[in-house]
Amino acid sequence: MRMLFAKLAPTVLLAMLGLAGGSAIAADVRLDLLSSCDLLSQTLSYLKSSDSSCRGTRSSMERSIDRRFKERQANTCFVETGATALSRFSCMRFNFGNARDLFCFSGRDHDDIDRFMQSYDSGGDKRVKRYLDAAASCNATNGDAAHAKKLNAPGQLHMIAKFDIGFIVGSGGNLPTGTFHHGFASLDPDLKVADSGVEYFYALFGSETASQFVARKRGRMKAVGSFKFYEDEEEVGGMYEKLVSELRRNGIDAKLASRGGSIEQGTAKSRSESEKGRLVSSWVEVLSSSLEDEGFETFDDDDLKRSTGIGYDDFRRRFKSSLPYGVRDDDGNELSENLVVLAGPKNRCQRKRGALIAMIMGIAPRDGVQRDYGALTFFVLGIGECGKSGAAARYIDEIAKQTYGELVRVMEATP
Amino acid sequence: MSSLSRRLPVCLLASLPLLIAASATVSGPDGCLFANTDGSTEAERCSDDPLQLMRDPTIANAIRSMGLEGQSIRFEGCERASFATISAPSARELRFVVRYPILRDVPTSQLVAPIVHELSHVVQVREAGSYAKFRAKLADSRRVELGADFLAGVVFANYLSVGNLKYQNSLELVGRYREDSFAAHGTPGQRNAAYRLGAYFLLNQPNVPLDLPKLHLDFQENGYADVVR
Repeated sequence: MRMLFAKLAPTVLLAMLGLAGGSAIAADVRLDLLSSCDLLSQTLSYLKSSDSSCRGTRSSMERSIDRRFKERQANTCFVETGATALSRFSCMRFNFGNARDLFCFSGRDHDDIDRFMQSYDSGGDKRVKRYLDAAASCNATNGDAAHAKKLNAPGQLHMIAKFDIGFIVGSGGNLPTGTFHHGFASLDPDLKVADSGVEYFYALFGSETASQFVARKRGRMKAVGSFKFYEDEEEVGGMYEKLVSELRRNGIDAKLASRGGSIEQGTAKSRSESEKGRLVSSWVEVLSSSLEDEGFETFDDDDLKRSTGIGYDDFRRRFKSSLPYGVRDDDGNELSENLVVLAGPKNRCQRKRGALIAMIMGIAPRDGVQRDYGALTFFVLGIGECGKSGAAARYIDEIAKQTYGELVRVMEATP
Repeated sequence: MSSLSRRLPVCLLASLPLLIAASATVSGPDGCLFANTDGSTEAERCSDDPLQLMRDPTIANAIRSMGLEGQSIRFEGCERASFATISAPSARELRFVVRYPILRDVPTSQLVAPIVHELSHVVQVREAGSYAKFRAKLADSRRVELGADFLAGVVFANYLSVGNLKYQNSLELVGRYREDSFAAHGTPGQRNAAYRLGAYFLLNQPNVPLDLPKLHLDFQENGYADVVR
């Protein structure tokens, strides 16, 4: 499952269910962080430590960015790392599973960033060469220092800014998948802070080696007929976990079962972009037909508006605006027509109190990527009496399994 | 049409490694030195492989590994030039001239990555059958150049026992944030991404055979979109 899709949909889902809450340093671009061997060593020591004391926000920029992260259900924790080189930055610490990362930001005038990029070939390249050489020579790195591109930039940056230019160096020793990043980006004007740009420093202390990562990725791949299906249980699970816990926090019993993943060509025959798009739509139809056979009823636009207050177009708009600012306009994030909401049979809930809702989402294949066949995800959610453990919960698990099985059957028969 | 412009209709530029770029590049409007002029005194400053790069063990190994042995490739060094691959379309058989700048105080090792990039252009054109067919299929300069960076990554990682980390910077650093579309090579980040995609391609897809034209096709059909994202 695409990360964006998986991580950002909760905001929209919560909105649908009516549960969502609602100093410039004028200076030239400085290339002095990745070349500071002391900073890299200190940062690694800091991330390895269990220090997790959070401080309050101290500036309007910190408050604005703190709000942005909280809107996305991210737990924020501003910290003091003690590193002198980071004194001009505000830093936040995040822990995902066994991985630990540090994201630091500092406001900049975007004109300075733009000037640096425009004059890159008039000396900027030489500065960068010296910078990367210095970074590669630090003991805390593995010697692999290079320019970064947008997709290398940390997810935290995408939440607040559009990537412009950045650098990345791998961490050394036996540290798995560790990286240090430094770069510059254009701040989202909606943050309404004084600065137009931002400088960032990011360090990740991973939980697995590169080969473990590759092995895990391969492990997620299932051959379904001629296609490869990459199930993203971890990310999809995390997304729905937040939805369920939010419902429960609001005093509503909830039970959810879901399946989803990205689809690749495998040995399937080559198709044009439009043929692939039609295929994804047909798979969405398979899922909805399977649920309809079980007594679910597809909401048309009026049904959806009556039940949730928003129609399909509004939902798509909300989905788009829920994507991080920095990658919102990238292709491969369009729900297009592949969105279906269904209401389940009421008699499945005890005393007919509660509701069953299913949602199917299909993401169209990306243009220019022949092997990409898009992504599909669906969930069946029981709330109220249907969200309690027991017969309704077993039914929800069973219906999700059966619906997915129907999709697999059809995909297996697709050349 | 002048005799020289008939001889040099094709010019695929690698750009220069960082350290030599500022001093050596004097590009024409198409980024290809003197490709459309006749009788230039600058062109007369070129000579056959003055730095003996054909005999450099790493470059010789690259030519062998890339299956270009026996291909008609001539190296040419010029006092003031950009790296370029030149193909003469009128010849019955494909012939290539790989041009490089002659630079003082620059070690040969710094020329290796751009030369492998140029040799990747030879792979691209040879696979298409002719330059005209190649450009008919692949008109976008950035696609062509990032495809060559990708192939260079594959070659360094899989054929040349010199490690690939020290060579990635030679190509990425000459990327540009501001360039004309007709001669676009990509930003530094894109060039690095293309190189690394090549260097780590077989690690990520171990069952794919090491076949440069097929890998290049895969890059164009799948990898390119991610590299420029």
